[in-house]
Amino acid sequence: MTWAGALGGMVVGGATAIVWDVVDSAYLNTGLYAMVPAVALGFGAIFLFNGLGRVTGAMARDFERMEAEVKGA
Amino acid sequence: MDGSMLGSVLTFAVYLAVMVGIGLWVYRRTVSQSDFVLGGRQLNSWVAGLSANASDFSGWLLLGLPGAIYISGLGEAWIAVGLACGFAGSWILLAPRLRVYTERVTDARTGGESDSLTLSSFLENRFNDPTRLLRGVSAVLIVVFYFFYVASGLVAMSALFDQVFGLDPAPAIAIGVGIVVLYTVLGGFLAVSYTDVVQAVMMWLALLVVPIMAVVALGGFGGLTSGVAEQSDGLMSIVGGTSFNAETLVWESTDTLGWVVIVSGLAWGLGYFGQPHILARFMGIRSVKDIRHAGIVSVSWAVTAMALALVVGFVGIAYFETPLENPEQVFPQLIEALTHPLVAGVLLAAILAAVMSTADSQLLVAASALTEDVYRGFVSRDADPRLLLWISRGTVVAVALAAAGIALWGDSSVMDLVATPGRASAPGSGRSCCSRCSGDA
Repeated sequence: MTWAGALGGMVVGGATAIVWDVVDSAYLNTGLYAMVPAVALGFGAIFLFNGLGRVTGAMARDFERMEAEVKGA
Repeated sequence: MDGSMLGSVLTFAVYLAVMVGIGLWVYRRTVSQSDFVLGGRQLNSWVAGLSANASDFSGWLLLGLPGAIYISGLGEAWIAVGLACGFAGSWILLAPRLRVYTERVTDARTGGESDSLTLSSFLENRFNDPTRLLRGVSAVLIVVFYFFYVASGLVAMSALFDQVFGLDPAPAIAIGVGIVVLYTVLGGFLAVSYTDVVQAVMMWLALLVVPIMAVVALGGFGGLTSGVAEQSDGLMSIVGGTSFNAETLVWESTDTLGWVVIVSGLAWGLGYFGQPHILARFMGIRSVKDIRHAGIVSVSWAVTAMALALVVGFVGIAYFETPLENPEQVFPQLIEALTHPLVAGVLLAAILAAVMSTADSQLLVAASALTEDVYRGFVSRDADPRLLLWISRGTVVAVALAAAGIALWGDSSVMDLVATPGRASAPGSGRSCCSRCSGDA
């Protein structure tokens, strides 16, 4: 993921959580909890905006070794 | 002042004095910005686990969940299932990554070591954001949402003081804010975390004691189940089909739960992946090796506490001959009906503990975002560490006063808008954390 994807997901997900109840009660009447569309649209926004930033790559998952390196530094 | 009131005053006073005492105890261990924001990353597994729980579960656990069960029965338990899965998932997926990565990723601007103290600074460093928007926007989102969250907590605190002591909102909020600010300013993250442990224990014991006394009074579990079945058979169904009518005070048959309600209940658990005040416990634990034990402590506490809260709801249905007009009062009403005034004071203090333990953590996160991400991030990057510590303490006071103002004079519809989605600040940052930690999209 890139910084642009993270930012897009954050803004779109947060905004959806806020406006969902208003939009749903006015137009959709699904009764779905706001978190569900917020996470779904947030994911979509990550993929949509991801191309605007530079990919930083995944980090290693050898957590105990990584922690030992930090503490030993 | 009658004996019952005196008992409540005494127990509340002792509880609040213990909270301030913990703040004084850790004051000397809080000497840097890192200590204030993350306790110098020195939490042991018990403190990290219990503190994550107490920070998360507010008055909802003791009032909202039993009230929901009282209204609709077991069909409301889907939320608890979602929360348990979300809590376990966040300990497994996020905790080890956040603990290690936040200490390891290098500063996006200088390439030097960073030791990210906040979620916003970590996101900026992790993704090498050249625009700095990621840190700024996420910090603003956290501050805005948490202002209103803290204010909502203060309103709940004021309601409890009103119910127990008949206090008006202004003095009630002044007492609540005064105590929370005092121990948070003194000891920062360590004070908030250690008080959380006391609060988590109080909440759990209160949830254990009250149902046991009620079940004994009902003549055992047979009396409990028959008392519930007397009101409606649908109350024990996991797909619902029963709802309490507050006007007629009877349980009526309704449609069974559809997939939308079940999915919505389960979706509550998604919030754990993006709540900064809980993620801070993952970042502040002493070692990645302690996370497994902390997770077991935390999830065990959460599952048992929610199960006990469900029992409280059912006990309320069976115990009261005249149904309650306000189902959210089922736990306080059981306390008053079953216990001695002195014990009742302790148990009611557990409700105050539930509210305070969430409000203090959210207050600290909002203040940390302002100090670490706004002031240090954009105003004075090389600020003196001791100055930063005092700015953080001042920011806690400022945020608390602003939240108190919102609680007293704010538009309740705005608070509802921000607080009703429950975990509204979570989807954005939660999404980012989840994708990042699962190996990058």
